[in-house]
Amino acid sequence: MISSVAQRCFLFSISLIVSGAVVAADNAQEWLMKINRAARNQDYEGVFVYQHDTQLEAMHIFHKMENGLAKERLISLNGSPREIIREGGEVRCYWPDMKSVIVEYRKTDNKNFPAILPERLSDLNKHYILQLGGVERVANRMAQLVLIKPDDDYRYGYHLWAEKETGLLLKADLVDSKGNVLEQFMFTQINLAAKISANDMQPGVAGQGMIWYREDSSAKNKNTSVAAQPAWTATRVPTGFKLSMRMTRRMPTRTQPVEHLVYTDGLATVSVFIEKQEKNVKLFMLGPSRMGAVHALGVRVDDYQITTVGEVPAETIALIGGSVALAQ
Amino acid sequence: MSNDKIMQEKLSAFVDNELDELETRQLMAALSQDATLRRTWERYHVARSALHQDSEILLVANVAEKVAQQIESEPSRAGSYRRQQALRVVSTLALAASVAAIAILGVQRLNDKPESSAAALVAGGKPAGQVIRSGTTRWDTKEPGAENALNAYLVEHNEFASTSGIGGMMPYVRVVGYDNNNK
Repeated sequence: MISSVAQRCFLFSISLIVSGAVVAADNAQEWLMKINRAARNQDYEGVFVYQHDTQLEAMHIFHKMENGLAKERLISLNGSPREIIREGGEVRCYWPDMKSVIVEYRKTDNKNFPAILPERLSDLNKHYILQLGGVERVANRMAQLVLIKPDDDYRYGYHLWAEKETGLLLKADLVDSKGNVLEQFMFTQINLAAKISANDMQPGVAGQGMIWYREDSSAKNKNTSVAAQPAWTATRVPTGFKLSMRMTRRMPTRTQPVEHLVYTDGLATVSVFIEKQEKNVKLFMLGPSRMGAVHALGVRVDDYQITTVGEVPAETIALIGGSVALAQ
Repeated sequence: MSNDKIMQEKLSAFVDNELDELETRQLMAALSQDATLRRTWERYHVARSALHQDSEILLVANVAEKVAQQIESEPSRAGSYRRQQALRVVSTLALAASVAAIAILGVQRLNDKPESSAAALVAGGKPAGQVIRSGTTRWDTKEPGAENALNAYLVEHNEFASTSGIGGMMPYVRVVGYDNNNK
């Protein structure tokens, strides 16, 4: 019968469309994984620019994988030659203008949280649409465009250009849900076959004469998920955001231990810092603040300064940061 | 370990509020006599106030408070000498704090010599806290202390930032970036 043939054709074309969409998404996902792998495993050296608001900054980066340990060095080419050197879990920040070196330890044993892993990708699919774009030329190389579109106003999207062969990220635009570009990052020159010497990983500024602040990496920093005690939590979060980490930090530049909560939807992350205020000391921040696409909010709950920070829209920070309370 | 080394460690512990009363007293005695140690304190202070602007007020207030407590707990007979000695130390610290603030900021501002009273010292620490702009500022907040605290939090947050999954060092770019336009 004609109707049944039409029906079959219709079903067939639907399945074509659906499978086509699935294939495209899979490819975008594979590209994300490829980008993530390249960011860790590829040795490279290059200069990139970073633009946000009306600011334009240039930086030099070295990246090397050595005996399974990722080493990176990032140097600001404008103003004071600040730099950050990361070796595995240790992050050293050299601030020559402040005559200080701050040493922090990553808390996740270099497992690259939130590395884009298959299980995370399924989370990601719930709140973002992944698509493959065309192949374009960036930093004199061919690059595959990958689009990550948020499905609501509570998260940002990304346009990523990855080097065709290696998958290394050459350019990235951070966009809001309407597609407006908020920040841009782009390599202007990159050397993918770079032989990076031990010397390249040395700080350009002498650590001598600088004050070293070392974070206490001992037991105090361990994850403290003590369920029995009342705990700080955000009582309202946008759909898809979940508490993924809770820890107590002794930050080298803070006098008090700081409780740190991390909320994520699989891609976007929001940190909540809870710090007890000393008597008669003013809160250092009340109300919202912004730096490029990073938003922050300071509120006071009883004797505590609650600071919420994340690369998410202001509404997300307001919702999470404004709802932090001590659960009984 | 040399005595100097020990005192330097105590100084660092003192700033972190980790010394007990006896150790604090020893450190204060050492500070009043040892110029090198005072310079260490000064340097420590420069970086610290640059990193955490409101600590200036906090530290001076802490010292003054501790000294005040100490004086109150002294028996009245010995009090007078000890009081002078302690106040001399506090004056030195407060002066160091003011010098430090000027050194970072290049603020053209004549500083009154601190007076010999704990209350005046606390007040004396305050103007420094109000004028500090450390040069890292791209946060659009006007609150003193907020920018450096936010930057410190941002470093901690970066480990978990979404872009670290995508581009490795990318989130740190924000922290390293230096803004020359806010002078």
